[in-house]
Amino acid sequence: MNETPSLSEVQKRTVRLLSYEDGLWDLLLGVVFLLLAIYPITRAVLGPAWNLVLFVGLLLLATTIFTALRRRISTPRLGYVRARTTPEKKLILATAIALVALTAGLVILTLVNPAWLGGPTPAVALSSVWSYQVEILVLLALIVLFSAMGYRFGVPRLYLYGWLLGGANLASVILYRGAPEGFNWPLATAAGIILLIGATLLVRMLRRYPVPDAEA
Amino acid sequence: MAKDRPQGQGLRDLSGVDRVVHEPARLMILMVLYGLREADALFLLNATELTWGNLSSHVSKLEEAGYVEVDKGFVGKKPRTMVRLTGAGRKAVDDYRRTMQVALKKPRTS
Repeated sequence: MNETPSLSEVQKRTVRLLSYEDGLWDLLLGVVFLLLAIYPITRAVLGPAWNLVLFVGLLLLATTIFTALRRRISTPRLGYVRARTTPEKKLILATAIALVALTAGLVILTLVNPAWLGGPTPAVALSSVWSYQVEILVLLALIVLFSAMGYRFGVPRLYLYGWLLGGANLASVILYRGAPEGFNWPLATAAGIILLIGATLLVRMLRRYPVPDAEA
Repeated sequence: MAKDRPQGQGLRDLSGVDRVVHEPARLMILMVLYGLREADALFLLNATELTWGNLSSHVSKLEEAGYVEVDKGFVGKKPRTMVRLTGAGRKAVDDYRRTMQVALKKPRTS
């Protein structure tokens, strides 16, 4: 240890170690977008209401597995902490949850493509950028959300995720508008890349941080 | 306020800087704990990249100074040492940061 990092750098490292070092968050994100990729297929089979129930159920299951894996795999290797809650942190958390919910809602909205949303038919798909207002809004929301997280926590790959997921969402709307019932390849590809990154990070964490026998 | 102080006051403050906090490894431990309610020794080890021996020795010094509290317990059959910053420790970090900011403030070039 040759240098003393700044307070913000130490805090960023702490957050990275807590949330992003093990790749589990990436795996959860990949699973969520993979679920969104099959969302139009299951919706066509189950109908909107039951499909939403299935989606929320699978999301809860994925979150439960994610929490269990973190407790069983990551905590014995990376250590245990209890976060300090301040009014400022609560406000940031509430804002982040609201933004994530809003973005997820907009992504689902663009995937479902209800009639009242309007927009161009495939024949005029690329004729006017302005006909994709909602999709461009989703693209910008994803880029801003992930970039803000990447900057705040010092995790550069989150910038990539913003562009990847925003771009995939826009591409899927351009490709599937008018026929949104099929498997969503752009979102599935983006989710696959994120899952691959997550799995790589998980393997790296397992190798880099073996479980210590006991505290020295 | 720092700007009302006579010239050189910031540098004179450096002589009174808290040497328990000023040591880089201890400062790192305090900075990690500053943003958390508590952390176990393993997390501190990974976050600071110190060795077990160094970490243990520095945490003991911080505990002696009253800046951290240490709780030794067990999770199942495995021992777990939890470390948390005390009110005095939080104040010491704030004071240290203020002192260093004043002392290292860039002079105005006109």
